[in-house]
Amino acid sequence: MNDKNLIEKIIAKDHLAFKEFVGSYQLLVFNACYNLIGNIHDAEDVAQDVFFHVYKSAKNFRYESKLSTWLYRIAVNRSLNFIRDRKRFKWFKNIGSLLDDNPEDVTNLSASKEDQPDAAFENKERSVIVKRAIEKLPENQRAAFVLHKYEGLSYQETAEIMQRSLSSVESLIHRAKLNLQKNLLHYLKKN
Amino acid sequence: MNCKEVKKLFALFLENEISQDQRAEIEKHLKTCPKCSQLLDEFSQLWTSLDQREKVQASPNFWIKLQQRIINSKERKSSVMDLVDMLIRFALPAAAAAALMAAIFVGNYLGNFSMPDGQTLSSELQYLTVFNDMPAGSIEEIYFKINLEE
Repeated sequence: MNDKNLIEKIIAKDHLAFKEFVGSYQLLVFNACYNLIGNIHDAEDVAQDVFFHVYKSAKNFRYESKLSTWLYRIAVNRSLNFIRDRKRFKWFKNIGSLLDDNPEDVTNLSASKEDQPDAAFENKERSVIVKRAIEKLPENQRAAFVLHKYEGLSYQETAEIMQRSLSSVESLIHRAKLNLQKNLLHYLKKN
Repeated sequence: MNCKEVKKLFALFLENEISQDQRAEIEKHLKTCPKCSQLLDEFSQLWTSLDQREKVQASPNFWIKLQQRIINSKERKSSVMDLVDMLIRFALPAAAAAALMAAIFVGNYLGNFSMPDGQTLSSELQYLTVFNDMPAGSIEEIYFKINLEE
């Protein structure tokens, strides 16, 4: 079944077609969310949101871009919204901790051991350092960097997903690399 | 190039995104600066970790959870629709009947409103046989009478 048929069937609330669709795109959506959010449980919740949105709003797909581009766009927007909400939550939790006189390290909210699928790697510590450096990037730089580096998308595809010009995406990725370099050098200097 | 300038280009050096001239200058500096050379080694290990991301799998019950969410949303939607339906079936006709009753009551009350001499407004209206909107002696009345006589 091609993408157009699949979307038409989802619009008609065809249950089996939607199941096939989720099966086909689950890995793509889930990994995009995970690479942006950095926490496997949160990524799963956001990926669920993405598919739920598709189920409700499949009629909004205009066939002007590839289905994967549309899906990536929803995944990026939902993930960035989630990150913004989490930042607010961390801020309130931080204030709460100060008031409770029971400080808690809120910077480790998304870095508990069970949240690390990179655990299989020989040097887990390096992966965690790199992951945190990515999490420190401004959201647009992070989105552009993740889509290009981890999703293996070209600058042009990244630009389409982010609805930006090609030069803007090139600039975002360049700045992301320089910021990552700064963060990693800072870590090496400290340790 | 000095140490500071070389460090600023580490990432682009490893990504091969610098010119040949810059590369040659960095390599020249690294040969004579053990500190920068060691830092680049350590940085390179971290930088290459950036490429080491495995694909992650969602939990096996991903589809079941999603299905449940859709069913819950339908139930929530249908309960809202039931409420709207009940409102249309019962509450709106009841409200319309209540409004009609209120209108009859108010109309009846005004119709029997007591006049200062003890009469009601409805009985007062019985004496009002002709409604003349042309005041006596006015130009309109004179013109009207002339026309009648003709």
